[in-house]
Amino acid sequence: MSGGPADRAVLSAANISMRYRRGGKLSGSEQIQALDGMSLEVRSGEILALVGPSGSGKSTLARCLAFLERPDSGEVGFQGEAVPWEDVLAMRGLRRRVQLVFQDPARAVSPRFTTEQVLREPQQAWQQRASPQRALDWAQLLAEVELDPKVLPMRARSLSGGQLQRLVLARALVTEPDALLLDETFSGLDLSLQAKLANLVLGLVESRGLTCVLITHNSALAEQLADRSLVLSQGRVVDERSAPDASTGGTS
Amino acid sequence: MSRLVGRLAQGALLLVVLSMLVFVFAELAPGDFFTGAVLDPRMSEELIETLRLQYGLEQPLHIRYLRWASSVARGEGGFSIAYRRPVVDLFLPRAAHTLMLAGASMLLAWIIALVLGIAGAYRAGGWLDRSTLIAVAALLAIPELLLALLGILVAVNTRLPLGGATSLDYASLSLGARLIDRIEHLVIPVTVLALTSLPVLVRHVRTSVLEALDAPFVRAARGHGISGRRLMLAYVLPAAANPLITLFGISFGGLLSGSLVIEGAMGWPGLGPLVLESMTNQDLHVLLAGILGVCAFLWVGNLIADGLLVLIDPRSGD
Ligand SMILES: Nc1ncnc2c1ncn2[C@@H]1O[C@H](COP(=O)(O)OP(=O)(O)OP(=O)(O)O)[C@@H](O)[C@H]1O
Ligand SMILES: [Mg+2]
Repeated sequence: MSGGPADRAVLSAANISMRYRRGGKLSGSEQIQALDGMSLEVRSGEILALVGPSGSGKSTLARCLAFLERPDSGEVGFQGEAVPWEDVLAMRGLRRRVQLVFQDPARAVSPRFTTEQVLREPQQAWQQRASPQRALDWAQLLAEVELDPKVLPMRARSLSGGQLQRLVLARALVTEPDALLLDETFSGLDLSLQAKLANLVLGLVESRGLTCVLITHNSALAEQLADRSLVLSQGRVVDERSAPDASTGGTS
Repeated sequence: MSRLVGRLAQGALLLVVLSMLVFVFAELAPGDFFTGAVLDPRMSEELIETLRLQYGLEQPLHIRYLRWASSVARGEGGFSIAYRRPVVDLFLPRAAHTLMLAGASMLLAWIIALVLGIAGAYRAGGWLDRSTLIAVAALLAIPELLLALLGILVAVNTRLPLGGATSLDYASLSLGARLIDRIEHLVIPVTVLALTSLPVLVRHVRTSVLEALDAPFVRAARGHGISGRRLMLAYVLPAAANPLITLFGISFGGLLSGSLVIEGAMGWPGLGPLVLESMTNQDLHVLLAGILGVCAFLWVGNLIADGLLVLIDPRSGD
């Protein structure tokens, strides 16, 4: 695809700032400016990498872009329109369309749930409200992330690191989102697994027509996978790099 | 199972060591039960000496300890010189009253704390949360005894009874009337005691729920549009449960010792006044029973909490 819709911003942030108090929300007076007037656009169909050192605000930005946290100031936009934070119902609908895969997959699943429950929960919540006819094709979903169906009855936190990453990836796909935010999904895994997962994600982006934001420390990986990279530092975008073939929108 | 046996043995050992310590400290303190009696003009020096011999107070420490221990083994729990009766006879009815007071307060305090803490955390910063926090801070600033006095004022101004666990004509009442009579007597002491423990409980519940709400898997659930009751029941509360169960065990002991203070002020016929009295007149066996009893309950509270933790541990299902 090329032209018109491909250039439209799926996700955008306009001058967003976010401040935390050190040591949790309540105690302490020292404040941390996690996001400091950040602006960016994620174009439809692109793979955008966010690169930056630890503490530069990558995960905070991801939570804002997934509409999970409201920035102190500035606007977050979805498909060109500012997100209506006050409208609880509308937000519920929007959150399903942008899915964040959390940095630490083990903490991102309930310690009480089996793998099957982890996947069934979002599906049930979705069915309750949206079109009830949407039965999920479990076999296909598991095949897409290359997860062995044998793990379904196992407790999610007892899975291996690679299986966990595939599980949270599958969970993010249950509600058929438009955009996927991957927070350090490839770090902490050995190189061959890293490469496998990266290929898997590239395939998913292609087959599902996803827009993808990749968060990573690893600028080599970013260059390899992404159409465009933004370098973050101390809550701001400090640099932008485009891959040589970015203008064609990834033709492989 | 073997862990339970281990814990029980540990607890028994703890109680034995504690009883020895109390004996040693009582020995270090000057005087004994009859020191005060010297001032009584009806008591001659000879009589006091005879009594000391009779109760074995002249014997060396280890003999006295063993005599106490054998009395405990016989199920008498020692002998109260002041009341001239085995300690169990004094202890059990009063312990029942204390447990009734502490148990009912605990129930009330936890119900209120759970409701306010969970509702407050769910809408942190909302009007309910803010008013709860203000009320809790105010409550924390009021000393226990002042609360007891306020309770007495309320009792005087309403028709609620105060002092004692039952009315004087309790024996002549019908079964239903007895129940009402008991409940009426409980209202004020239970409310006061519950209020003293409420601030800590509310804050802990609120903090635990807030932390659980911040967990990535709870955020992920929100990201899937899971909210309200489902979010709380399936995600947040199970995650908040562990610290709360631990606190539940500790709060039991805390309420029990709080009860001992409140009882005296409110005329509740529990262990509090008895133990206090035994302390001033050096009725050692009664004091021992009080200290060991409170410690045993603290310990049982923790044991129950640990047991619950094992029970709800998701890993134990694997
Ligand atoms: N919930 C929170 N409470 C308090 N401080 C926070 C919170 N979340 C983030 N911070 C702080 O905000 C800053 C940015 O954090 P963030 O997690 O967004 O960085 P990051 O770029 O994702 O880092 P990393 O590469 O280590 O994951 C850090 O200093 C962090 O300590
Ligand atoms: Mg991060």
